[in-house]
Amino acid sequence: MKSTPAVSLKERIHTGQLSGYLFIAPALAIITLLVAYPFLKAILLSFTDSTVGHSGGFIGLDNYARLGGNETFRQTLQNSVVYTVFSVGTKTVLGLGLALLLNRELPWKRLIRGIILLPWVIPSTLSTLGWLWMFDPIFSVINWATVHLNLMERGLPWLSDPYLAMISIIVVNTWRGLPFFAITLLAGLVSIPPDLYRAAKMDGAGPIRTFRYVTLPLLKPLLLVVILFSTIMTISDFNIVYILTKGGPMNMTHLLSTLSFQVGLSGGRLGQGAAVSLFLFPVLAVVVYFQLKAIRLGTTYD
Amino acid sequence: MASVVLEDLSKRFGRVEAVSRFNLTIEDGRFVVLIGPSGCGKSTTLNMIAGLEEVTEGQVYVDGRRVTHLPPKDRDMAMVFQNYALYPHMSVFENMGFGLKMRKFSKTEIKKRVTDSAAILGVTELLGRKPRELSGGQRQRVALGRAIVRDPKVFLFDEPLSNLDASLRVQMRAELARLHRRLETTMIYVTHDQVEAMSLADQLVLLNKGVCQQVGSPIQVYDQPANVFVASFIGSPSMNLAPARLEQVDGGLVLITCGRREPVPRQYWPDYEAGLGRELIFGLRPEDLTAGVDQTIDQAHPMEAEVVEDLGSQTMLTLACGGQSFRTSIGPRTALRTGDTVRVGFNMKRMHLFEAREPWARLARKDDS
Amino acid sequence: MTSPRWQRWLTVYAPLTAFLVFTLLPLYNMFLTSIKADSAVYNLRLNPFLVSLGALTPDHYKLLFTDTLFPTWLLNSLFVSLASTLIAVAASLPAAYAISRMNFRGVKIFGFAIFVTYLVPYALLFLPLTQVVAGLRLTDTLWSLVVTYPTFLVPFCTWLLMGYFKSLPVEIEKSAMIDGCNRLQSLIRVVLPMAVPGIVCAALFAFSMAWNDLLYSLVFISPAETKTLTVGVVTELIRGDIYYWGSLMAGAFLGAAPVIVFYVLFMDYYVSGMTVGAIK
Repeated sequence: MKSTPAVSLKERIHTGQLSGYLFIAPALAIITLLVAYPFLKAILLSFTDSTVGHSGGFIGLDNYARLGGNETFRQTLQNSVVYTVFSVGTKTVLGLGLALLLNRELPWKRLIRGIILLPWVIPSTLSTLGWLWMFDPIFSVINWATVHLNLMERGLPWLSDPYLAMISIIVVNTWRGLPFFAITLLAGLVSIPPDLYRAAKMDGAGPIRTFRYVTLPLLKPLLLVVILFSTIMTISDFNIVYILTKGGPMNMTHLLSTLSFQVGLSGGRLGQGAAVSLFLFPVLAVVVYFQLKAIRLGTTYD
Repeated sequence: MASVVLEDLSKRFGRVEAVSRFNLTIEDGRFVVLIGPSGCGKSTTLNMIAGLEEVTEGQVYVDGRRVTHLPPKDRDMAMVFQNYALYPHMSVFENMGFGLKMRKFSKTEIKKRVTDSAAILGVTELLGRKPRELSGGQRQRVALGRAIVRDPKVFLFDEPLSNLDASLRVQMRAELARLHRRLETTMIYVTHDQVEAMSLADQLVLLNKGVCQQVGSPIQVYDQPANVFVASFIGSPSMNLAPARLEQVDGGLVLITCGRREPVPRQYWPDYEAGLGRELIFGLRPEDLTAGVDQTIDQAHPMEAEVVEDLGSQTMLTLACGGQSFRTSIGPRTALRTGDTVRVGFNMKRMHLFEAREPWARLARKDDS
Repeated sequence: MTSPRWQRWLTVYAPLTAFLVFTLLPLYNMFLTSIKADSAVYNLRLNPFLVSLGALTPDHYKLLFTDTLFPTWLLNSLFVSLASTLIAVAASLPAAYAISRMNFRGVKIFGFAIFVTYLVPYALLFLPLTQVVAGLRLTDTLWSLVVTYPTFLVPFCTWLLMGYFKSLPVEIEKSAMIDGCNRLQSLIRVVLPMAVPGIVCAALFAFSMAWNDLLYSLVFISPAETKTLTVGVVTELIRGDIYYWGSLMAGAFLGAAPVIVFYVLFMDYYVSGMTVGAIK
């Protein structure tokens, strides 16, 4: 029996075996060198007491232990949870509402949609500056308006009161992230076959029950995906907090990313900074895991 | 079970009149089919009956009660959609029970009704499945089941069989007929397929461009089409039509058409006398021509066969008829080829004459029923 | 059934107006401040939502160009965003094609790796990246950004393009291959022209993301002339404790301008980009 000839290089390229690897090579290189390697380095760093200019020695889990007892760090964790939960929650509810509104017959729909998308499109660094001005302790337009409409006596200290500051950053995050929810959910709404709504009408369901039994279940898979992405982006947010409050007042708005920046760069304690930022990873992994599970179990259209 | 009356029903979209002053009385328990080409207004009419579309003018009555502006859920009607419109995220059981759930039926009542209907339609084993796991025919049955379960006064069907393949369609047609006999409920059915219409309907309603063309039993519509539109729409292959005129010859009438002179049967002379001197359209169904190659056919004239299609069970001929093309069929396995001459006779007892101008009406005869 | 006029106002138009006001308020305020004279800006007695014609001034914008390094920052951002977008799209395109169309050992793992990378927030990587950048002697240069931006641009673009490729019909490539193309040729000659909308979309998003970055530019670059626009505006327009609000807003507005221009021109691409990715 004649033995089969070895597959030549040219043949390999043709069948896509080799070219496949060539295709992914650039992206793979970037990911390996600039993501995987630094990621591992970050892990290693977190086990050292490195500072800027002085690569330190191995200290095991000391950084983490110290974090556990650190008041600021615990506060930061709490902030991250509050910030993410309330931002994503608000965006979900308002985004869904806006999507339902945009799904109706409206005049100037293109223009409205274009305006709604603006916060998402404009670089967040720059629009947040606009919000900084809106929250200015003396010249805030919000305060001016509420005082002049006699809704309040004095303006509110948006960025200097711990609780108001958290509310402020949530508002800005919502402002920025709402378009993503609204437009994506709108696309989902549009893809629901209109006959289902007619059938629901014949079945006797009013608008609220149609939403509850037909629209919402069919939107669920998309909703979960959108919430997943938004959670990831919100938890690792840096720009908004950095510009508005830099983590204050009294560390009440610090997020893991801003704290890591402060500790690692401003403070120069690389090892500790790395440990802080690494906390993001398991948190994210847990969130992603649960959401992926929910998505996989979700329904698909016909 | 209920009677449905449409009174001067009209629907306008902007300046376009989709349905024009439609009047119809449907008696309790009848199977009425609305048929016509796309855009004729049949679906719009159905939606107005259901309450899914607002009425511009006119009224809808069910059992004498005016329902024109009531929402669908208060009209006690059920609808079966062309694309089934099954809720993809619900099981078959939940789909069928949804309408009852919305009307606050008890769980036991829902269970009973759903299982009963499932049994009637033969979908009991499918109750736990989701729509995407079902075939087209099964989905259609479930859609039917969803309607039956509500025990409505009127069933509405919006081209329910259009998405099924040919053999399934035949099967489902039979099932629908059986269902109607069993339930004896008023059914209003919309389709563009005239085979469905002819086989299912007690009463056929033809619509074109929003205007009702004719209402009658299938045979009535077939044998006495009210105008050229109905004549050519009903019947497959469609009726042969050609321009014609009448001439008086020796005290009798002769029809000049397709380059031949055909004597008009004597019993029709009084009816058609008024057609002298007018431009007319002659109609004859394909089955009322006789064609053959030998000399035995009555009153036969030679015609050229433009197209010869041997379909196995019969041969379809397209004949050149003085500038028109007439179709007829003869037995299979002839030796005929394109261009051959065939002897063709017209069975003038089955002839139709229509006005050659608006509204293209058929000239009535005394022997019409 | 259409509901009565007033009901529609309550349930549709009123909430919609509220959303639109919410959306536009900060931007309107930003713009207005940038063209208002300081005397009007800092006057608490005047209505901040309005501006009298006498108080209009182009001074704040002028200041940006005369007194600050704004033009330099603008060019820096432009360079960095364009370069990194180019690199990112060039790397993502074949990768996305490979994942969505080709089947070879490891392709599924690679696809999963891309997804995981997308989840690794760049706030996590910046510390070790400082060392990488220092090692490459790129600290305080714009190249440090061109090199590091792809870390978050590539996963995003790959994922976006993947979703896009999946929506293209396979038959066209099959027929190209029957016609004699190999994989690379079919990619270049057949798929690429069809994928232009997706590529434009990816490029737009990548450009916006690069333009918007604050963290990496803060971390890797200190000299004022090398800063990108975002960092420059945020750090340099605040002298001591004094915020030059007029110019700050002018800088913010002008800084957002290129992106807004792209947006207005290519709005449909933005919308499809958002939805193609999520709906997949």
